[in-house]
Amino acid sequence: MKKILTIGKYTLKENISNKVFNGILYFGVLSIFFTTLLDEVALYEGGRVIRDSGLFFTEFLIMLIIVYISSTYVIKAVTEKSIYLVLTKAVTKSKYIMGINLGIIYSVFCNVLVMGGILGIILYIQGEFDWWYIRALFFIGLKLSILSSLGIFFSIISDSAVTSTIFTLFTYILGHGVMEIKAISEKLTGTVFQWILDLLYIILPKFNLLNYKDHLITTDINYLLIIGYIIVYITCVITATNIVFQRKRL
Amino acid sequence: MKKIISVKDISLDYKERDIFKKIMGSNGSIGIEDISFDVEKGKIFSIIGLNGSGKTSTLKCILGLMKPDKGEIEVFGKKKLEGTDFEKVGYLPEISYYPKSMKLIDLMRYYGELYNISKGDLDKKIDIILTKLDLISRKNDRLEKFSKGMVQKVGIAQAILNDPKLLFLDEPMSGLDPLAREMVIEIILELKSKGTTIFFNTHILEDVANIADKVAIINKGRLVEILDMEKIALKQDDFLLKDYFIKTLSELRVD
Repeated sequence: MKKILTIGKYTLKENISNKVFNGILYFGVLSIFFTTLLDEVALYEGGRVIRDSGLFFTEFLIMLIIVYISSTYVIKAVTEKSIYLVLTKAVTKSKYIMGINLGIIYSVFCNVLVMGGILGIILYIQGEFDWWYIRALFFIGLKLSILSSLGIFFSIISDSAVTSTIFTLFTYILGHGVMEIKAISEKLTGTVFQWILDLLYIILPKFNLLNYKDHLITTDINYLLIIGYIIVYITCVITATNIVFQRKRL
Repeated sequence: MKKIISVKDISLDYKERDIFKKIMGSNGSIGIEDISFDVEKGKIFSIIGLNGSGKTSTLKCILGLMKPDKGEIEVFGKKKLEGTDFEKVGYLPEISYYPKSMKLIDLMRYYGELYNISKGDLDKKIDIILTKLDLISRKNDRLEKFSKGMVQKVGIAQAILNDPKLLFLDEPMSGLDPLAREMVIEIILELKSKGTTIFFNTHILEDVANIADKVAIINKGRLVEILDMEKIALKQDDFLLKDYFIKTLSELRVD
């Protein structure tokens, strides 16, 4: 466990000092500041517009950072041979995978904290800051944690950073449309497409459950069920990543 | 003398492993074939050979980073290095990139923590090693500011951080200037005097001749000969490893 935590800690440190990571983060902070300009055009609804667009920028830009980091991390470590330096220090492949998963999840929440914190201050000044805002941020963090695990999985099964990035991005997009996939599947009964769509519905992450916009207006949410789903989903992805990684020729 | 490493008839065929290469009949990487040797405790064992001759593949098989298709390997009397065995091992890969945005001190602490070195000891150890390698003044610098030779020294520093009982060095002199090479040789000899077994691959034959106890010549994945440098020195005063190596390889080409 100690080694997993160590790898997690230093993966976070490495990410924080990464120039691309920081570049997108600065851009995100700037974007959030620019949302305050919307106050001028949104009559009587300035606070809400700032909150919604600010949350959109927070999720979208952190998603870009996480897709970039997670879907290239292992590929880079293998091509640059830095992975050998870790695996020859009494670190098993499974500990390595769990460690980098943890490190990228730390990075997700670190970003959410920075960008969400700045937006939070702006919302507080606007009088729009409430408990739902914190929950929305937490849900963004959970959604992107799932995405980061999937990014690592794709970077293990693929040898190309481009392919794994595309897979991760598509999963992010499709994960938001699982209900639509189910609706289409119900209309295609008895065909091969139904089978494929049903399979997609099962394996894709249900990002619709974590859609922060819904939770800003809904009150009846079973948090335990949602968090349970996320834990089970991430565990399944990490297990699959582990199985593939054990067989991967380094 | 106690054996630390025992390699028996190991073979590794890259073509067999890569379906694409198998279909296309490509012979990009030869792999290794029926290699056997023993490394005794506290000795310096070196493998020399041309590029792509199988030096790194042999080393990776011993470290357990690659599984040979056949043959047996024993390290510390065990079939496979695993778990805490690695805490007794140091490894410098042939080419390794470190996270450029990280500070040297953070990188060293990272590896030290993975070796389970206690926090109190770790910083002291890092300072001693970085002083030895003349990197102490750069301890708080990011690695992006380091030259190739300095990065190689970082590699050596992380490899000896845990006072290894068995040290694997893959091309340790690569990219180093003559002074730094001398420094690395001193470190290797100091570790040897403390009982560390050292296994290293290199192209730079002058260094091998000066410090290795045994030298294995490898060509196209096959072991050609193992030279006992002590015995040779007793018999032949003017023995030049470089000349011998070139002669041996030339004869093999003619054959």
